[in-house]
Amino acid sequence: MIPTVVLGALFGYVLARIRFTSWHEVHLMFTLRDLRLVATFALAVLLLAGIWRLVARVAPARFTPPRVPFEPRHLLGGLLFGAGWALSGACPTIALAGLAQRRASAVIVLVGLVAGNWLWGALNDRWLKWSQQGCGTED
Amino acid sequence: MTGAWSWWQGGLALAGISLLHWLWRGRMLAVSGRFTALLRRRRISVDDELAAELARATAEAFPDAPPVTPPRRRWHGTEHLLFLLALIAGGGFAQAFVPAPMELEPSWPVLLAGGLLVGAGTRMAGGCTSGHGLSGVSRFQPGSLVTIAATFASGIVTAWLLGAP
Repeated sequence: MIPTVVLGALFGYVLARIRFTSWHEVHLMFTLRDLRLVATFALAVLLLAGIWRLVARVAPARFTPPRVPFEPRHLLGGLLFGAGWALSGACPTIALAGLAQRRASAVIVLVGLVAGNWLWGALNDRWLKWSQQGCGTED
Repeated sequence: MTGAWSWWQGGLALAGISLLHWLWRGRMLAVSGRFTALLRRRRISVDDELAAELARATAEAFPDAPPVTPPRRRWHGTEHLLFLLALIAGGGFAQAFVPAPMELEPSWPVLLAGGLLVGAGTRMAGGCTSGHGLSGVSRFQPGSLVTIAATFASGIVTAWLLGAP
């Protein structure tokens, strides 16, 4: 309970301090006019790649993250997600972290986000029945 | 201390939070999964009812067998909700600390359409920028690499077509 709240608050704080929560900054990133956010993301990924390598060596029994083999839904989902991110300026996390900054527009994005998630889930459950395995292990 | 953090400050902080999340919760950081878990609540409870029904039928058919207790899937809804609310609070605290300027944004139908696409796309791909982007790409998981490559390719094309508001 406490770890969850602390981690969530820290994550939200950092994302707002990077200004990842701004529609304009996201637009600058996607139009490649300012690569600061790309560099931020790349550095985090590089550091984590080293960290996981170290962790897997030190505590192999405890380090059992889920594997994510490729499926076509990753390609299609990513394409929809990217288009939506460029339009709305928000991924699921920064829609929430940016609520205080963006106010009404963040609420509109969040309504769409929840509806889109629910809608795809319902359509998929009813007809397509593609795998719903997430990249994490939350349930 | 005003304005945006530089790329190296931000990169260090994001990597630190991902590591802390794993150390403290024993799980990889993944946010859209929490949205999905909250929205899938009913489906899980239906599964529970089915499991209970099966256990009852089994007990009727085999009265001598030891009672079957179906494994219950725990629903961590409160945790998920708290994490999402904490994201709002953390972002709000930063905003109170160093207020960001109000900015011009696209009209509400564009924002709503964008939100719908983000919701459907992340549910379909089973992850977003945190789960696939930070946690998956840093472990070179094929599904995550494809998701993030497609996300950025599609985002670049869309932003270019859209232009600034």
